[in-house]
Amino acid sequence: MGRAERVAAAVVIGGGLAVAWHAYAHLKLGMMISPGAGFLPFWVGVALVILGTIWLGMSLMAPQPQAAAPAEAPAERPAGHPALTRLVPGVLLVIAYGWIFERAGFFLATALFMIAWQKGIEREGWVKSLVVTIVCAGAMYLLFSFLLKGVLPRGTWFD
Amino acid sequence: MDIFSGLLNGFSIALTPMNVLFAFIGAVLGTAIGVLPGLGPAATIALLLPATYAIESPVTAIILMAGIFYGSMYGGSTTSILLNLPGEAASVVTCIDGYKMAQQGRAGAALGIAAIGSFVAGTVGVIGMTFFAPVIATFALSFGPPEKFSLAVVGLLLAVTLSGASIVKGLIMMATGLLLADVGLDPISGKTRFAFGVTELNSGFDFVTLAMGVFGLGEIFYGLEQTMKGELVTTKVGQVWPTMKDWVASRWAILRGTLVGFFIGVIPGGGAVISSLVSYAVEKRVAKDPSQFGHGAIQGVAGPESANNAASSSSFIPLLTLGIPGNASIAMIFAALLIKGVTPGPFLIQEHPEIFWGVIASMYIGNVMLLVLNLPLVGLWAQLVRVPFAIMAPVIILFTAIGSYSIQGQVFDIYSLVGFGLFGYALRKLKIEAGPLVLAFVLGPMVEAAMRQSLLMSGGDFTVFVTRPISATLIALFVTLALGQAGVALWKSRRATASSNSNRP
Repeated sequence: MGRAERVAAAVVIGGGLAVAWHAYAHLKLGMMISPGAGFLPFWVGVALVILGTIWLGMSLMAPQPQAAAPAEAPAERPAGHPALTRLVPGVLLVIAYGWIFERAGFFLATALFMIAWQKGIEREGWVKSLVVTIVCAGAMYLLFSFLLKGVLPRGTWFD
Repeated sequence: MDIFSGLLNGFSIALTPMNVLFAFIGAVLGTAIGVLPGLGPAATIALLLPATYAIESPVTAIILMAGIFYGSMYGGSTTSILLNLPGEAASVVTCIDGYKMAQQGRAGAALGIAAIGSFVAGTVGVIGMTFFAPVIATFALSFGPPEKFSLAVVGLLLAVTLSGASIVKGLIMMATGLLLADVGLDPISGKTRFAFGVTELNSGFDFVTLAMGVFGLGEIFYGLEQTMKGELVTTKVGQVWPTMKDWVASRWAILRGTLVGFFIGVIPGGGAVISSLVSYAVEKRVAKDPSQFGHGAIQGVAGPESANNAASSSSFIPLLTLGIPGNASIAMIFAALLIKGVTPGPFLIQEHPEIFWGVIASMYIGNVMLLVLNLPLVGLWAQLVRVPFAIMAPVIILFTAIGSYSIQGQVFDIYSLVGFGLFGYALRKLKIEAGPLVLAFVLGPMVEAAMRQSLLMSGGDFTVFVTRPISATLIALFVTLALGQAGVALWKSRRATASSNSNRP
């Protein structure tokens, strides 16, 4: 956690500096009687720099967790870290779903997403994956199209 | 309109078949969400925000959201008692004695007293709201821009300082929320801020996308790293109606929990989680035999469960009367009202009495529904935890993605959703509360507008915030509370140091 906190604090400081500079240089602060579009963002940016610095200082001063004994580490480490085997593919699948959504249309995009999820991430069998896909896609269509009266894309590939 | 005729009018609205149906749906969904570990009430209300576009009447939409919120407080106790698995944060403390009672074969008594305590506290909370809310709303009518600014900022700061998490991290979240609210067209100067040429950002980030991403998708991304499996409920529930001995032992705990919850719920940042913790501490302190706590004391279930329900009712008071949401779930309801074109605040009771009284009346009905749903069906609810993550995760992802797309019909919102989801995941990993971010995002436009109007009014003089009596009182109250909290923390740390020194040989 210590390293992650330090990186996050540095991101906050960097972000705060960028925001304050952008607000000062491009949005303008205006006058006290009539603050400009950059007035609040500038001071919020400054606050982020101060808070980020405090956070960084606190994480640097906090006692560091002791490293695990070298002999135990390989035995406890799983074969594939879930962040790589599940999280990254999961995030990429959602981005791919967004990319394909208007192109392939709601039904095909949703079916492909569900199949890819069940097979690629959950490692389920074909029968279960297909059943879950059909039920979920149908339920989503009923919910958003019929109940919530939303307009779902039919797919530009088929126009 | 006086209180009684207002309430009567509210019942005539809340008892229409459509509103009763939505109160029921809210109560059922809320109980289910309370039972399921992972998704909390804020995430669920966020997931349902797109539905508010389709529900025509704002009263019906808010009745649904309110039902989910207080329903989740009822449901949260079930898995805490049967599985030692809190469905939502406010039920964590119920695990301590509730699970021990279940192990001793008294699960039914624990579930029964939790449901009855929740009903009593929820109802008392709504009664309190009925009488206090109109008085506060009348008082708040005299608020000008400086008072609104101070109130919103003090509310945000209280939410940060009282949440129990790191104050520095909370303030960073608050600042980030204010910045995200700034994205898009500045309503006063007409300048576009932080859009960087992306046309979709000219209108700013959509609250629904932000809330669904940070709470819903962030939770799923976090869950992907964990190994979640449905657990089988093997504990026998038995008789859920408490015995006379249980009643006698828990009646004062229910009353104390109700009072604690009601008052803590009104304070921004107070909410259900803190009230349940405070109630547990109070019960332990007043108990004749505190050693029973942690070993199946029924007061340890009755007090906190009553407190979190009373707090969930009373947290509507600052929203409906001052327009200040005190916690993340209430911020979602605030957003739902804005989506429906209704601005919560002191004018709500005059301009939209049907919403004000309709929501209050629906809470009376919802509490009765929840008691009926929870006592006989408790075993059935407990089986919900068996829903596999493999199905729940992609369904929630699809729900959030299609939901955010359907708002404006643009794919950009799906990409924003993923971005907010990753941000929510990072917050979970870094153990940072997302509540202040959402509150600041919701209140950001009001804070900025009130600040600029105040400075215009005062000729650029910042002392306007401390020279006007109400604004100065609000700031003084916050300073007193913050100093008091710092004093208590210092006293506790000194006492801990002294006791560790005295134990040293």
